[in-house]
This record gives sequence, C-alpha cells and structure tokens, in this order.
Amino acid sequence: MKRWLDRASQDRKWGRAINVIAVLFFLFFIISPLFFVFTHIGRFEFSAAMQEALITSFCIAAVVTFIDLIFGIPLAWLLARKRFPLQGVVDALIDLPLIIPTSALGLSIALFWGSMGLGLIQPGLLLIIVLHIAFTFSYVVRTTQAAILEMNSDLARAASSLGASPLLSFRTIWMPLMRAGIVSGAMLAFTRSLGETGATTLVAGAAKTVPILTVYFKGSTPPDMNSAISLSAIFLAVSAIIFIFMRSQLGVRRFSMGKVNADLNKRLSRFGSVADITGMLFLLLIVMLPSFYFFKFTDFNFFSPAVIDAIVVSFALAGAATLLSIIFGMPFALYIASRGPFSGTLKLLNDLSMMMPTVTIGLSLSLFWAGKADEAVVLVLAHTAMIFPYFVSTVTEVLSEMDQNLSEAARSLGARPFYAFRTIVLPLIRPTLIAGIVVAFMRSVSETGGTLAVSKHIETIPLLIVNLSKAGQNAQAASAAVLLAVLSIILVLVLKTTQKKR
Amino acid sequence: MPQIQIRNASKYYGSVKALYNVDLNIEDGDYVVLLGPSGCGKTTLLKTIAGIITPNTGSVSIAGRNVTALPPEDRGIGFVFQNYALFTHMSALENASYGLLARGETPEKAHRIGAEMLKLVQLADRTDAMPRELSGGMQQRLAIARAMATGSKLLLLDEPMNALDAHIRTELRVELRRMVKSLGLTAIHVTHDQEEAMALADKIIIMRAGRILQAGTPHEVYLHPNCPFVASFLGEANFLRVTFDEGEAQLLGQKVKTKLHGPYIACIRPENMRLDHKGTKVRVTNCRPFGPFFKYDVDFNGLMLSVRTTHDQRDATFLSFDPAEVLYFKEPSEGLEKSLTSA
Repeated sequence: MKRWLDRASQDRKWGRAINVIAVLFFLFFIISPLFFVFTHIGRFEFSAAMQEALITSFCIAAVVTFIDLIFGIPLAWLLARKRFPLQGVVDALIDLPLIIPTSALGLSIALFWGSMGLGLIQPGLLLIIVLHIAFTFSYVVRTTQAAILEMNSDLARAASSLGASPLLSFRTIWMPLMRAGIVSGAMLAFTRSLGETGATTLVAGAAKTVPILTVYFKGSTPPDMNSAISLSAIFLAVSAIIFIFMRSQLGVRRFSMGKVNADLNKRLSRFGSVADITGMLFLLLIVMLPSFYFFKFTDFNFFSPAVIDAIVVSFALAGAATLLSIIFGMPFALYIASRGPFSGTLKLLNDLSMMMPTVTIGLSLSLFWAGKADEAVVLVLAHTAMIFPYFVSTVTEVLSEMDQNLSEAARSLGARPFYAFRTIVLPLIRPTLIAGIVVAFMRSVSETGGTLAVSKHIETIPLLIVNLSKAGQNAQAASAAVLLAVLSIILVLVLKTTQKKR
Repeated sequence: MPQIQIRNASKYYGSVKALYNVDLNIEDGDYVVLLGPSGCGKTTLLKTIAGIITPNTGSVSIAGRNVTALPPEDRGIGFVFQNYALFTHMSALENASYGLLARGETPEKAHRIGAEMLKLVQLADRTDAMPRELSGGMQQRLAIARAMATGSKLLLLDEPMNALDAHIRTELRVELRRMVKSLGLTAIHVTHDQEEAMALADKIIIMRAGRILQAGTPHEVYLHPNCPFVASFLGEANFLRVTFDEGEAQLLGQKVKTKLHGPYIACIRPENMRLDHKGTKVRVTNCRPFGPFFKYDVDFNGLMLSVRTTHDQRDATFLSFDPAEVLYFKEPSEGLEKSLTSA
C-alpha cells in the first residue's frame, strides 16, 4: 500500500486531485454548513436587547483576555525562563482545563463560587468572566511560553551587558519581540470567550451574552429565527473585523525608546518574584481549584447506565469526527502551507469558522442538515465542521514554520513526494500533529452548544451533564463529569506518551 | 582601569567541568585572545567575566573590585555576541544608544553619543537602518559600537568573526585591533581560529577541557609551546617518538644531540623540514601548491609526515631538518594521541 502510494505520488495528477478533494471537502462540508445560516435570513432584525448582548459579549471577552494577559505572561515567563521545584507538575496542570468539557467546567465553577461553595459570586457577569478565564487562561500561557522559548536569549543577555535591569530588558526587548506570540494567544482567548455557549448558560444568571440570547431566540415559542440569524450575522461580522485588525498587529514593529528611569526600573525589578508568586497563585486558586471543585460533589455512582451510554456516544462521535478531520485536514493544511493560489483566502475562512459561536454553528448545521441524513451521521458531520478548523490551524502553523529545505533535500535524494512526506515531514511534525489531534478530539468530546442544536434523541456526555445539572441533580452531574475528566486525562496521557516516542 | 583577575574559578554542568580551577591575570590595555577547540571552556570563561555565567567556585575581579556576585548590568562591560544579538526591532542608532538610555541618560545625549559611535565604526550614513538591512560586516561593527557606547573600557567578544565570510574576516581583523588600540580598550576575544588569534592578540591563552594550558605572546606560544596539544593547535606539527641514550638519539635517520635521557616526543613543524638531495631517503606521496608555499605528504618508512617548502620540490627524494628547531616533550600522562584530542 505504502509503496503503491509512493509510486502513485510521482504522478502530479494525483497530488492535484488530492488538493482538489481536500479543498472541496472544506467548502462543502465545513464552510457551507457553518455559514448556511446566513442564507436563511428573512428580515434583518436589530433590537436594543441585541445591542446590549453584543456589548456584554465583547466587554466580557476583553476583560477576560486582559486578566489572562496580566497573570498569564508572568506565569509563562516563570515556566519558560526559570527553574523551580515541581515545575513539571505545574507545566502539566496548565493543559488540564482544556481537557475538561466546558459544561463540566461551568458546573464546577458555579459550584465553587456559588452558594454551594464559597458563596462569593452568584450567577451573572462576574461568574461568566471567572468561567471564561478558566478555559482561556491556558491558551495565553501556552502561546506566550512558546514565544519566550523561541526567542534568542542572547538578546536579553546583550541588554543586561549594556546595563539594562531585568524589568527594563523585559519591557524594551522581550515584550516588543514576543508581541506576535502574545497577540495570537490573546486572539484565541478572545474568540473562545466570545463563542462559548454551553458552560456560559450554566453560570449566566440574568446576564445575556450573544450566544445566550441566540439560544433564547431559538428556544422561544415560536422560534424567532430572524432575530437569531441577524444576531449571529452581525456578531460574526464584528468578530471578523476585530480579528482582521488584531491579525494586522502581529508583525514585529519598530521600537523607539525614550527617557528611562533607570533607578525605578532597577528597584521594581526586585519585585520579579512577587509577579512569579502572583501568577502561580492565580493559576492554582482562580483557574485550577474552581475547575476541579466538582470532584467534591460526586455521589461516587460513576457507572450509571445513562452515563456509560453517553460516554460511549461521545467518544465514538469524537473518534469519527477526528478521523475525518485528519483524513481531509492533513492535505488541506499542506495545501495552505504550500502557499498555492487561494491559500490565503482559505486560511482566512478557516480562521473565521473558528470564531463562530457554537450556538450559531449548531443553528446553521441543523438548518443545513435538516432531514437530509440520519441523526448520527449529521452529528458526526456537525462535529467535523466544528473541530476541522482547529486541527487545520494547528497543523498549518507547524508546516509553515518547517524548514522547506528538508523535504527538498529528501526529494533531491530521490524520494518521491509521498515517501518524503511520510519519512521526513510526518516524523518532524508529529508532536504538533498529535497536539492538534488532542485539541480536536477534546473539543468534540466537550462540545455542548452546537450538539444541542442538531441532536434530537442522541445524548452526548456534555448534554447529559447540562441536563442533569439543570434538573438539579448535581451529584450525578458531578460523577459524570469526573468520569469524563478521568477518561479524557487518560486518553491525553496516552497520546502524549506517543508524542515523545521517536 | 580594567585589570582583570580570575582566581581559582570552576564551573560545572552536572558532571561536566566547563571550567576547572582557572587562574588568570589580564593587564590593562591588552588585546587577549582565548583560543581553543569547541567545548574547551573559552566561552564559559568569557561569560564568567561578563557575569552571564556565575562560577561554582572562585572569584572574578575587575579593576580591583570583586564582581563575582554582580549581575552583568552592574559590571560596566561591553559584550559582542557570537551572532551579534542586535535588537531586530530597533534601528542602528537606537541599538547604539540602548546602553546609555538604559542607564538613564537623556535621549538627546544618548543619541548624540550613539551617533558618534556609529561614525567611529563607519556607519554614520546608516543610522536609520534596521539590523536586517545591514551586511554581515556592518552588523558586526554595529554590535561593537553598541558595546562601546556606554563608555566601557572592557570589550568582551565571543567569536565575533564567525558569521562573516573568510575574505571580510581578514580585513575586519586589522580594523578591529586598530579600533581597540586607538580607544585604549582592554579586549578579551574568544575564537577557535588560530590564524585570527595570531593576527589580533597581544597575548594568547590556549585552553583545553576547561583548563588553561599556556598563556603568552603569539610568538612565544608558537615557538615555545609547553605541550604537544599547544604545538599542534597553533600551526601544524609532526610528532615522533624518540629515545635518548645519554643525550644521543636517532631521529628520522639523523643523529641528534641533547642533554636529555630516556623516551621523549619530538615535534618538528612542517616548515622546519627540507626536501632536498641529501639527508634521509623518503618518498613524496602527495604535493599540493598553496600559492606562497607547497605542502607535501611524505612517507618515511611507513610513517607519514607533513612538510612545507617555498619552492616546488616534489621530485626530491631526501629529507633533512635543523636539530635546533626540534622541540621535545615528555609523554603526556594521558598518552600522546589522547592529549591531542579536544576533550
């Protein structure tokens, strides 16, 4: 089989055919269903309630991103540049909130801060912010950490040999040069906060974000589809403008320094360890502890039939959707990375679809697939549409950074295109590829809003958790969430060990 | 004035000894070159002086002040990094003024001095250029201007010629030494290139495996190496085992007389041998013209020697040497072959 593919890849026709198939798949199975909703608009509506929801959503996203940056950058700095005891454990902890389904996370955070825990924060704006921080913090820390690790640390040494105190060198050398990394992390956090639906409904109280208002329009009797679609359209348009603006900020800019208060910078540098400790405490007390608080509420009845069924459904669904994403996403990512015609446009479309609120996705998918196929098939395709962009974006990133000379060297040594791909490119991108698979899989397992919109009879585990929790059965919901979290962690650990093997 | 003293400095990375009980004195105004193969500890020693690396034991003092515990920013040094570490997001002038601004100077004064430094390194017309717009040689000069703008009298250079092509390298060597001397700086320069070391140094310090083997003027270390490693690292050397009996021995078929007794290692430089029509019978197996000289591989009873002459002597069949030019070493404790490797 491999040999046959090696030989077949020699023929350029096959390569082109694969590119065409991948692009067509993207257009018909990802973009069309995702954006289908906008063809269904009857009359454009824009009410005061919508305006308020838009402002609420963008303000929440901005505040969340800002807080993420304030505490995330020092933490990323600490993890990337310093050595301390139990560093490996802390480093591993960062990813955990990504593993827990957002609905379980929402439940846990509502329990921790609410009347069943500390009793400090009731459902509403503040609780939404705390929740969104919990599942976006990792993005900011991880991308900033990567940016720090990629930087040539001789630059900082040069600054200090020229008399710059640590704080001054951080402000004038590190920050300007890490901007791209930090901005892209902030963009991820911002868009995730904007679009999150499932968990937010659990903690929102009377507050209405755009996704919540969309759910409300859709759920009212009779469903107010015009309002729901109008809101989604305007929301996506505003998000796209912000997104494009932020992307234009990615490049490294020319930097000029003015008068420096050397003494002040030097004195403030001594507070570096305070920043370290604050970042660490923030991670443990604001992100980790509330995220895992639901463990306390479990009734230890982990294996009730309903939970087992839902887990099997979720994992099978995620498996199928991930497989489809790999099969079609891999050549698609290769095509985008090869900078062929349209690859810039395709990349932008892919990024835009990552920004869609899951409830809009759900709405669009349910309209697109309505009555066209079996519910299970629709669910798989719906989840593929939701996770495909994440997989592609991760893989494209690493492919565009890869040294082109390597695969050219392989080709010059007589390797056929597919042989060069599987012996050179694949092993090199493997860690990121597996990370992309993990991200895609976990997003499918934990997805709530979109699934809610397409499923009629099939109940995935996040749906079950939301339903149980809405019915006031917190103990059972917690047990289900614990089981899901444990299974997810095991799965991720297994994948991570394969990541390290050569 | 920047007189530097290093006392008993050691640096370990796990079980690897990067520096091992190093003692060193550097006089004010000297151009010192730290020379050795990669991994010999020369860069570690330089970074120890700069404060980028803190030694596990020992002390560093600059101008009589113990600076062992001071961070780099408080040592008053200028450091030129291997790939220059220019600030890519700042213009040439902003790079050159950085050190002064970091010390709290006003932007006017910092930019004025920065511009003067750029003029000094012949970059006056490129003040507004970004580092990536400059050629390799210009980038190096900018790195030097930036390091000197703070008024530091001590310039530390970590393989500053590495990123340049061979032709520019020889040109910049002359320029660099002239600049350092005219500004009255003390310079410590790390390299693995022995030719570069000979061209630049007032004093060469040869290192191997974390230790200093020999220190002296280029002439001294070349003519009087204190061990086979130094002899082979600076220039080329043929090593031959020889045993003296009451000061007499046979070397390459020639009788030599010394005051030594017992087994020794004789070292003859290729240029100290002649190919001629008298002496010991040999066979030339390979001859390469290098322009100003010719290089030969010569077979003496199965022993391969390297010989160098100014004229083409490839047809010669006899070899001779001047016994006065031969160096003798005791067999190193780790054995000759092992002692010539870099680790």
